[in-house]
Amino acid sequence: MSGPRSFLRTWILSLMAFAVLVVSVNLLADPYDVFGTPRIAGFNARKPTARDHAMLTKTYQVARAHPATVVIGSSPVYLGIDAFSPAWPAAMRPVYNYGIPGGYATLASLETLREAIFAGGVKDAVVFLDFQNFLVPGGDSAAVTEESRRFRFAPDGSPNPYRPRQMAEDMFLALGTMSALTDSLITVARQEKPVSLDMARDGSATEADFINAANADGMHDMFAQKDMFEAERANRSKRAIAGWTGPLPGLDIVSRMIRVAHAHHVKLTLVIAPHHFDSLELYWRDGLWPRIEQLKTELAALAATPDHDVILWDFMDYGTFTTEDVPLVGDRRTETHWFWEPTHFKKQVGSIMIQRMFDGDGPAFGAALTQANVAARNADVRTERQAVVCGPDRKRPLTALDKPPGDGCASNGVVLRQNGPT
Amino acid sequence: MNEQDILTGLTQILRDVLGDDTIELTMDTLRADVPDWDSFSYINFIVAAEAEYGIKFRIADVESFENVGAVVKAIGSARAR
Amino acid sequence: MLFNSYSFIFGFLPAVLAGFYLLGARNREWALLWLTAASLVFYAWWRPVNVLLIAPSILINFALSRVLERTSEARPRLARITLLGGIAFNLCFLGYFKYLNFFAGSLNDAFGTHFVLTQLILPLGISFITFQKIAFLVDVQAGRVSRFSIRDYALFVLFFPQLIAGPIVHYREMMPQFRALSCRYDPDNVAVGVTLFFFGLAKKLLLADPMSRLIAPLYGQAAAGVPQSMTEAWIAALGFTLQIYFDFSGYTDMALGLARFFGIKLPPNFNSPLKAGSIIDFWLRWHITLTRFLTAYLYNPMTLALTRRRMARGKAVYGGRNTTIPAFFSLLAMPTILTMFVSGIWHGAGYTYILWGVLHGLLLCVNHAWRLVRPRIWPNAAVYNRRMAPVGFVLTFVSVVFGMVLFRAPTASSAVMLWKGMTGAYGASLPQAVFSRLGAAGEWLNTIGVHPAWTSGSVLLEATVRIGVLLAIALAMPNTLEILAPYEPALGVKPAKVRPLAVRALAWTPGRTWAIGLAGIALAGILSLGELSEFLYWQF
Repeated sequence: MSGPRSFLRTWILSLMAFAVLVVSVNLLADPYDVFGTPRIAGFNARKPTARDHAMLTKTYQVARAHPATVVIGSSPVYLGIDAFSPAWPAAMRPVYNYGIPGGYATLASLETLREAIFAGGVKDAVVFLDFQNFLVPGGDSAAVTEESRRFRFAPDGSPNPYRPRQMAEDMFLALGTMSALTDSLITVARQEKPVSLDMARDGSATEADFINAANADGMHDMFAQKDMFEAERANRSKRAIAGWTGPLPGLDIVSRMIRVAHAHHVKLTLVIAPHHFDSLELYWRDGLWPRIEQLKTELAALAATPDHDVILWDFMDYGTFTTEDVPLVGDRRTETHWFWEPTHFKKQVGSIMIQRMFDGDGPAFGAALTQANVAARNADVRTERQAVVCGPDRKRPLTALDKPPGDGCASNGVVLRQNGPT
Repeated sequence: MNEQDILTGLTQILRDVLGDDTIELTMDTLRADVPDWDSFSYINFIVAAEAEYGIKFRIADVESFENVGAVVKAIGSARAR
Repeated sequence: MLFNSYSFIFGFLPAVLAGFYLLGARNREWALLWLTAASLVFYAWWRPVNVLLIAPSILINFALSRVLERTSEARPRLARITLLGGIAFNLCFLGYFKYLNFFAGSLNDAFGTHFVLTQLILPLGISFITFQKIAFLVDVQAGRVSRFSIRDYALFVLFFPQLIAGPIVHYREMMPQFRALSCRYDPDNVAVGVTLFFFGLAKKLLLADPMSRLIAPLYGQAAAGVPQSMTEAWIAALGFTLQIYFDFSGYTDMALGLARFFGIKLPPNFNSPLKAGSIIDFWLRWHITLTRFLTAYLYNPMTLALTRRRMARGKAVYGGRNTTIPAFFSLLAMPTILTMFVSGIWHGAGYTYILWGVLHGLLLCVNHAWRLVRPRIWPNAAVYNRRMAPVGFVLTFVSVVFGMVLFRAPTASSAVMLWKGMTGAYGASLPQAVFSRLGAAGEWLNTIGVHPAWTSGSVLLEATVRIGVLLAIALAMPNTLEILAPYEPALGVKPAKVRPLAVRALAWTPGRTWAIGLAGIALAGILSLGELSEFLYWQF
């Protein structure tokens, strides 16, 4: 055989052999847990790259998990709620963590809630709500997103017509692309690292990113950096919501959550997620506190829909778990107990919340909100804040955020009222 | 004026254009053989040659000279006319 | 249809090749017609209306060239008028689709007029096609092209490998090849073609596109008026230089490879431009066929005419040691800047492209001026070239990188902002995470003005690594033309007499090692087809 002929033959055979190899590697390593390939310790048990494809991974996972309870929300749920936590009452297990990291709006929570409920078998749904998502008018559009094409069910509960095509694309993405191959190799390579990212079958994630960052940079830097982002975000929210009257944007999505849960006899627990002191103070100083109180009041009214099994919990307060001190600048050793940074609570806090909500037990933290007690609760939280911020310690957030309207403490230590959005 | 004279003259012109006294041209020299003799300095060389020999090349010819020999021959035939 | 798409690689290309070889085994005329038809389909794929726009333009050009053919000897005046008319027609055609909105917008800006800007369809590859048609008309009038038919002409204009991103080919280098084609499956050509195509695909998808995703946010921020520190500004500038380098290099290789499947050798268009030792050298390595076109059809005629006019008036002309300053300005600087102005606006209808062209024009003038001055202060050229080569390289590289900012930045003001960033106007910064790890070295950096910022350390690391790897490939590795030189990868490319070690080590042969290696490269490219890709040539 002449040179070029055998060259071309060798080339095409090698190409096909390599292709088969790549597909096999991707199928075996299954980096996004799309195929549910058996997890083998030391080979593919951990899924360090699944986080960046959480919507993909979790929608396939939840179809296999058959949970009795789903936890819905964004990254605080994804990172802070352990589906395997001993705090879950036996009756609520198995639990699936359907928390999706990344900047998803409340609409995504409604969609994932529907997806989990339509599959049947779910008796309890716990939905964590992000305060800032209720400050963006028009933030939730009704467009068909790439993610929603993947769901098994259309919004009315019928089979989703887009799904077969999307599944084909997903299979292809997970088997025949460079990213999948890279992620497969990373998956196999990162198994033995003491702290590696993972996404378990129940959707729970390890906090590896935070642990590694804390080891490298220290907690101070993590808070300081996130404070900056939060300050920018709060500032954007402030401008977006300025002059808004009537119920907060996005509340209608919560109503739809309540309706879908009710229709399928699912007990719904709505949770206003806790924030660290730094972040709370940021909202205060940006004049957003009345909006927080408005949200609590309006959610309490929604939760009071007659005959509907809805419970509302509020953890957005100035309690023990949210007001711990952040290590000083330069201190890279001291660890915080409850928060990784101002918006992400640690798993311990997640477990305490589960205990509080479903066991009726645990340390003082948060409160079940009703229409009857919401006004008193709002007043209580202000009092808590006054004690922390205006008391003898005069606690200050990490970042220098002293700008109008100031900390709200009069020079004699009496809290000033913050009435309307400024 | 024979071809050798024209070649010598062109060599001097190119040395002036490129500022390099080490250049030696033969009838077979290609542009690629001479360092820095790019298309920009080529046109300078051509007009300098036109001035030197009092002739005028056709623009199409300028584009299609294969080697130095072709330029030499074109100058020779133009002067013969 | 892009070269880097599933539909092209697994649908269009195999179908066209199969049809071409099968028909070619019976009748080569059919095979060539098939190729022309396939090129039309390729052209119509993205927007079928493209064909309706390009077909009349082809017919009119063909008619004009027939007139030129008949009149060029017999009635030179008529031929001249026909030629000018043809050039004007093609420029107007290009101008209408590519520049109308730009000019109307500029007039509106300048004089407060209210010309309505319409969403015009820019026919794909129109800039390349227009130049080819003009060159063809000039060649016919000069008698360099004869004996052509409408079928030849249509194939020459539409031949799909060259349609998207060049090269700009001449009829006289293409048609003899088409005439000599056997139109049969030839493993020699296919082996070289496959190699070139997948080299190109890998460059585009594995080297250029990831870089594009990395730097896009930086230009977005610059456009939004956010000043970039020295670190970010240089990443933006170097990153884009390397992105467009590998994008263009990749497209060029793919074009060479595709043409070679049919047995056609396209002219070289890209020859390691970042290795250039001067800005003149850069333009002889970057977009070679564009430089060739502009030099032959714009710069040379202009310079010839101007020089002759000055001579007729008895003034000094440009050339060597006796050049006067006025001669330099009117015979070199003016035509050069004008040519590069045209080059700039050809690249895109926008102020930044014009500025980019003019900047390169100025740089070329400086380069030429230095060539005139240098022998007076440094007579020994050999020693100069040896000692100053690194300086020339660095100056050229930095100039090109600065220039590329204009090419990518969405507005001139954001480009200026990035330049200021590059020169340190907004300080230098490193991510806090880097500072935390540096310790005492970090404090020292702080004293020399590098400050910490809350930017991502991992993004900086990825950017640094990517830029480093791509630079190493662009500067230290032999290019495709060198590796494949014995197989004439592009028209007229021959092996160098002395081949450096790296070239010898990597030299391509149709053996097992390269077959397996190329399979790996090809698969990496194919696997990357699904990733986000940026197409830079809509403008052309």
